[in-house]
Amino acid sequence: MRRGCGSVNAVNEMRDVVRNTLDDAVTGLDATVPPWGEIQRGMRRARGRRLRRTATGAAGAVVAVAALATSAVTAWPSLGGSAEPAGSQKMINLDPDRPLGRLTDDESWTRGFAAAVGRRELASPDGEQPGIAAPEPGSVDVLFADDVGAYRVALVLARYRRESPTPEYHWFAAARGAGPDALAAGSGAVDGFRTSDGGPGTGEAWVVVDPVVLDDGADAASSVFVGLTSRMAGVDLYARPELAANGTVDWQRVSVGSSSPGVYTAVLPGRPRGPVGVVLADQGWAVWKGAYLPSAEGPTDGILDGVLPAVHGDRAPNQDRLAMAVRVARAVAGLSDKAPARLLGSIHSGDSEYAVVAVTAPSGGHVVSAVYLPVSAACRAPSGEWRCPVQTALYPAGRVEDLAFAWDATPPSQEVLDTSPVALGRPVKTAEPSRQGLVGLLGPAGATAALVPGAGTTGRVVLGEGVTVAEKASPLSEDDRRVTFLDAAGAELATAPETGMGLIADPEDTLDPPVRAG
Amino acid sequence: MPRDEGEFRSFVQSRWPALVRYAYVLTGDAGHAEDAVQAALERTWRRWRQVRTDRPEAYVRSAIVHEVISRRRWLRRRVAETPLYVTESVRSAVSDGAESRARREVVWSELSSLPPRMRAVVVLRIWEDLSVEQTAELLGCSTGSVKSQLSRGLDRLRARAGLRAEVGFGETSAGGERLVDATCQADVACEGGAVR
Repeated sequence: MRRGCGSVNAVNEMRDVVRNTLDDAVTGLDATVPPWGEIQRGMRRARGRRLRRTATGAAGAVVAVAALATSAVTAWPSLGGSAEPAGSQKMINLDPDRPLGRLTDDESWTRGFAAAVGRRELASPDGEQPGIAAPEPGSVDVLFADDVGAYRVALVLARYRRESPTPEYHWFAAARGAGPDALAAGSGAVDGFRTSDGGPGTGEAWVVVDPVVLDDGADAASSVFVGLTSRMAGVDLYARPELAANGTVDWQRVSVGSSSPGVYTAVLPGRPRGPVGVVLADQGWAVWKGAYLPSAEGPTDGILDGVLPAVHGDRAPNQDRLAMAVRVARAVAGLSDKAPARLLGSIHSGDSEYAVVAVTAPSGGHVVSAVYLPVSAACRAPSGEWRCPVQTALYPAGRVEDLAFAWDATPPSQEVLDTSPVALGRPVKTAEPSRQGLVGLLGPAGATAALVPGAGTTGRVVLGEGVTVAEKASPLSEDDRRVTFLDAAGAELATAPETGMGLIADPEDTLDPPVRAG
Repeated sequence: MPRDEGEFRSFVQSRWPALVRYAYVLTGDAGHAEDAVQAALERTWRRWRQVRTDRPEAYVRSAIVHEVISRRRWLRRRVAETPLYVTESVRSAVSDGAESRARREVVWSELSSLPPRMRAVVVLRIWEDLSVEQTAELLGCSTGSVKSQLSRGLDRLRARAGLRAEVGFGETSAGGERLVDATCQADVACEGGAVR
């Protein structure tokens, strides 16, 4: 059916009405600039909300320390003048004009190293894809260089990408005493490096270098941490999370002292396994600065060997999804590639699929992971490279039989929600699946329904066998994002927080390290 | 005061009113708008050195949009401000100017009922006058999605019974199908019923 010019006019008039309506609305709005202190407080509150959100939705120790994390975040790291402690080393910035580390006193070595960096392309993480072209001429500055433990470590500021307006941090490392040409570059979580996210805007940078960097890496007995920060009075490392049988997590904490102004170094035994949390403390205040989350992506060969069959249903999920779920759960738990893993269930629709797995720690505790990937041939390049965003939710748990797991299952893009989810072959009632997002549910034995709280309302979801994905009636309340699982008689069996599902490439939003009080 | 902080403070204080108004038309609630702006500023400050030289306001506005439409970040602690409907008896007694205002109040109310992303598309396309491509880039979705969201948004606004009576857009067919115009003027109706 078609409509004529009158309809076109109606559309245009509608647009005019909307435009005028919005103009009127903002004209009558009081948008007076509040005092700066009030804006700062609002930003701190926003930061606190973000941290609480991730604290309830992340892996490992998050559940154990969520309350602490929430209460400890009381200071804006650098905006508030009143929060700056008197006598701090605030003015020691990562400044090319004032490089840090003893090696930067050796001008010959530093010049040679900068020249070597300037000639070199950055390899891709897997070494198979094209690397990143050498940095822009003249854009390389050495910010730090020193020998720490068995390693020589350096940080440079360089602009590798022509399209980037600002240079970025890049870490390099090799064996202690290595020549200027011998240092290897690393970033993120590959090739023996775990580095802080972000660039010069953060004002801080840190790296954990492990024996993989060395030629005889397998025999090296230690790793090192280097943190460069001007604002903080101390650095705490949280590593080697230990998962107990009941699902609680303990981290090993290492307090790192300053070896020289602005430089914090530590030698760590062995190779850190699992995530690393770094907390920079500022004289009574504490802020978390970053964490490393192992990537879910990688080759699938061998990773699924020995994975136990699904507890619920017999559908075999896409091997990519299953492999990613297993890999990231093992890595977060610090478990070996052979740690027992079991598919708990999967769910799919025409264009989305989730796999939920549990890996078992030696204690008997579990790390449960839910991985979402869009189902599209376009996501897998001919070279094997994964092109689509990967979302992972992680949750520590005790016995699988008692597991109550709820996660934010909303895909990253609205487009993939056009098809209603299907739970193990049975449609889930979703009136308009694209409106408020989805929640994934896996209840304990005997659970037949779940209560999902929202803004002023609670939705009741009838659970299918195994994994269920349902639309939220409204966004879960920030203050009470716990889902209650019920048995057939309506009795409460268990509750669980809605675990966040973040892009795996954004560890800051995916994994909170513990935050200690000052 | 460090230079970065000074720059950031100056930027915030100079652009605060515009940013709050922008968030307000996206949220429909003044309190939520300030929350969204503060969250976006918090995000911006963390990356200030990267964004300060490259259209920082564009970055903040993008962050505001994503803050608003992100259901996880969207705190519905307060009931949204909903203007009162103007009843028939009142409408018959008011002047033409008041009738126009009443119409806009109805539209404002109906806009509040749209899902956040759909509302964002409507605001960005009609009020901000962004192109389809710009809107798609800002929202991180396809141009087709922008077109369909705008089309559906305007359809929903037109389809509201109260709005039809108020504004006179009652042209959805009896069978409920959407109406397509073959003349397809710029930025109006296009093939498949999408509006571009």
